[in-house]
Amino acid sequence: MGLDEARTSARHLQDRAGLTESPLAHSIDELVTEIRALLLEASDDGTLLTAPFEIIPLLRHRRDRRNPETLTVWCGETFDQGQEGGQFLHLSNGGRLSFSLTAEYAGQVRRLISYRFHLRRAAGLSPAFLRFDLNPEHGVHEPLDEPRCHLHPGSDDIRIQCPILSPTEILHKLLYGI
Amino acid sequence: MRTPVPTSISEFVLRAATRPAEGDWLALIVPERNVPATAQAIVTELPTIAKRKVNHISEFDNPRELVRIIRHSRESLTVVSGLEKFSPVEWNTLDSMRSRLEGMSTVVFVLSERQGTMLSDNSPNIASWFAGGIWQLEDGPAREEEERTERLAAFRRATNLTDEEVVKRAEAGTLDDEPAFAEWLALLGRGDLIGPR
Repeated sequence: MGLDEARTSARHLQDRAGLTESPLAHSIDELVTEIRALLLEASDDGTLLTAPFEIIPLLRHRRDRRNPETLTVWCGETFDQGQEGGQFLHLSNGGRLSFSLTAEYAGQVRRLISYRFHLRRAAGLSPAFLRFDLNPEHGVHEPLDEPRCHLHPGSDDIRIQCPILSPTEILHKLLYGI
Repeated sequence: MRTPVPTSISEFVLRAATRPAEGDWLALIVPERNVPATAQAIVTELPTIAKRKVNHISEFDNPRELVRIIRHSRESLTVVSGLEKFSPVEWNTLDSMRSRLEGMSTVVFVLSERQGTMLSDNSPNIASWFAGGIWQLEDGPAREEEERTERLAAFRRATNLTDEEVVKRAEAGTLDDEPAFAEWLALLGRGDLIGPR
C-alpha cells in the first residue's frame, strides 16, 4: 500500500504542469545568447574565475544535421568524474561546472529534451557534487526510482525529483545559490 | 587593409561590447552571401552582452544618407550592413564626409572582402579608424565539425562505446536514459532516435 501510493504520488508529481514544461527562450539564438550573457556576467562579477575570452570557446552549440530543429549546447567536459584537469568553468568558491543540453525548436514548439548540469564543489565540502539531470522522455522508468528530472545530491544513486528548470534557472542556482 | 584576425561571431561581439573607448570603429569581414545573416546575429547578441541599445543600419541610398543615420544613432552601438552596393566613388564620398562621423559611439561595419578592399582603397581616412579592429569570420562549418568530432571522441573515451553501438542500442530501445546519450545521438545526426521507441 505504502509503496504503491508513493509510486502514484511520484507519477502525479512528474505529470504535474510545470514539471513537463519550462520557460525557454524563444529562439535558438536567444537561448545561446542568454546562457552566454549569464556566464559572462558571472565572470565579470567574480563568481566565475574563468575569463570571458575562455568562456566564449567553451560554450558551444550545434544543430542536428538531419533534424535542424534539434539543438545541442555544451560547455566543458562530457562528464565530471573527478578527473584532474579537463575543461570546466571554474568558480571562485573552488567549484567547477560543466553542462550540456539538448532542446527542440520546431516552430511554435520549443522544449528541453535532456540536460546535465554538474557542479563539483571544492575539495572537502559535502556533498561533493550536485547534478541536475533531465533524461530523455522514455517513460520506462518508475518516477519514484528514477524521475525524469532529478537532482543528484552528491550521489549517482540518489535522485531527488524536481521540476524541469530552464538552463538559466539552473545556472543561477548553481552559480549564486549554493 | 590590415590582415584581419580570425574570429567567431561571439568573440567579435564580446570585443565590440567590451571596447573600452567610445568612438571605436570595428569591421567584420564575412563572405558576401553571409553579410545579412551575420549582421542580424550580431544585432541579436550585442545588446544582451553589451547591455546597451544597438541600432542596425542596413537600408540607405547613398553615403550622405548613411552618415545622417549614423549621426542620428550616436547614443547607441551601431551595426552597419548593406554596404555591398557602394561603388568606389561612394566610398570616396563617405571618406570626404568623415568629419561628420567623429564622436560617434562604437560603430561596427559588416563587410564582404570585396567591400573591405574598396573601403581601404577609396576611404583611406575612415579605414584608418578601423586600425586594429578588423576581424574576419572564421570558417564556421569547419570549426563546428572539428568540435563535433572532438566531442564524440570524448563520449567514446568516457564510455568505451562506439557510435555504432549507441545507435544500435537506441534503435533497439535499450540505450540508457542518461542525458549524455541524447547529446551523443544529436551530434551523430540521429536526434530522431531520442525519446520513446
